[in-house]
Amino acid sequence: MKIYNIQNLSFSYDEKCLIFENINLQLDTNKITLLNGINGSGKTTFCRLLSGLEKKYKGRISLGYRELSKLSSAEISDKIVYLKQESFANIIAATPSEDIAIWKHKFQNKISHEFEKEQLEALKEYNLEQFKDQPFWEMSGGQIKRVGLAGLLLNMDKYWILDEPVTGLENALIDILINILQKRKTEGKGALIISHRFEKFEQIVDNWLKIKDKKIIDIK
Amino acid sequence: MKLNLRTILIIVIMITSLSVIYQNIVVQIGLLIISIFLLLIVQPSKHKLFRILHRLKNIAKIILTLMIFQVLFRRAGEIYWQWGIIQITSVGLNYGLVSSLRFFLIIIIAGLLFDIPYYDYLLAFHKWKIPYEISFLVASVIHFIPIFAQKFQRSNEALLLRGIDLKKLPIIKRFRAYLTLLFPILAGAISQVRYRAISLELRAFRLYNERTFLYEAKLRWFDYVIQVFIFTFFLLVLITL
Repeated sequence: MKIYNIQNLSFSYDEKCLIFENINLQLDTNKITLLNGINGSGKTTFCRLLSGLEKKYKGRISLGYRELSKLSSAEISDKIVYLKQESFANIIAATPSEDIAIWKHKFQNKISHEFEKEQLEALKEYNLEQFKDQPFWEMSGGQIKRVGLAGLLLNMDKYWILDEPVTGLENALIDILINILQKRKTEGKGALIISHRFEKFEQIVDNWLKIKDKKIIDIK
Repeated sequence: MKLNLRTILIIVIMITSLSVIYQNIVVQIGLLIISIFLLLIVQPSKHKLFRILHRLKNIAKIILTLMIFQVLFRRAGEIYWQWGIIQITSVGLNYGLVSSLRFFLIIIIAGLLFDIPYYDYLLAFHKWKIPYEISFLVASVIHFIPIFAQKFQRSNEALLLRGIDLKKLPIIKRFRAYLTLLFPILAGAISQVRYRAISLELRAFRLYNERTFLYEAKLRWFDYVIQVFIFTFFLLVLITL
């Protein structure tokens, strides 16, 4: 089954300089795809398009069977999670526990006791339990990145889009992420990963894509 | 038309001052028309106009609410209409209309300062013989405003990615969400200022009394003409009204 079906996609920020031109691509729900390309080739822009943050594109992007630009943020976030490259860009609240809680309450609902347990488990997975109430501005870039990754664990049933998820992480933590991705894969849950450190993901990746000359090409 | 920043600053200061001095609807409408005209001729761009329209759209509800409060609850002068405790008086109506027009005018005239590089402010203040520490401080604040807006935009995107649309939240929950967003943004901004201070220290900021600039922002003939014109206009309005 396809999570994304992209047809004739073209995109530019200012109508002068095209970033993508006539892209045709499909992404499988249950496969792990690795995307790379040189700096400034449009990797992050591609993620922004897939996550519905950029809506003024030409062509079609279908998420499931529906046109992405017509979906609300709630409908998109029901199906996918996008972890941005900059660690601070994934953060909303002042502390990790508060930030993780927003995944659940969304300023609408109350948090159950079970969720608090789940929240703590997610933080524990990335060795963050001792920092759970520490303000973000007193944490390092790597620690903040880990909070973003911990948030993913509350969204195991969704398709993940990860932009440079291992930058600034030590090897042991990269291994934790790879194990999680591996486990998800066996459950039929895929991901799109953007990373220059492809040697780290070599064992779990199904498709290799590269952005070159405004196109996305299959390289393996 | 590309004007020197000093000319633009003089225009902004003069028009804003007149708007603050006069509590008169005709003056406010006149100044508003002049501001719109200036916006269309001084370095016009689609992007700039779009940003101003977006800003006006966002703030219009607040301005209109303030106007209604002023009109209904400021009680002085002739009573035009009354229903129970609610009154519309001449002074209330005047205050309501003038203050909302003034808000719109400030937003529009501030549009002239959009997209002006931070370095140009340093050059302009240097020419006006403002001490470098002060001009650097003012220019830094101006430089910081878009950074702050960008941080807010980034947090808003993080909310959207979690399926939370601020515009769709009920008002009390929306207020709670804003508070949650605001605190880390402010703290992050303060910490960024601290890094900036360290960075300045590392570059031996103000080690020498004088600094040089890579280029000069010279006034051209039409800058002089416009400056004379705007000063004359300012004085004429002050004398005649």
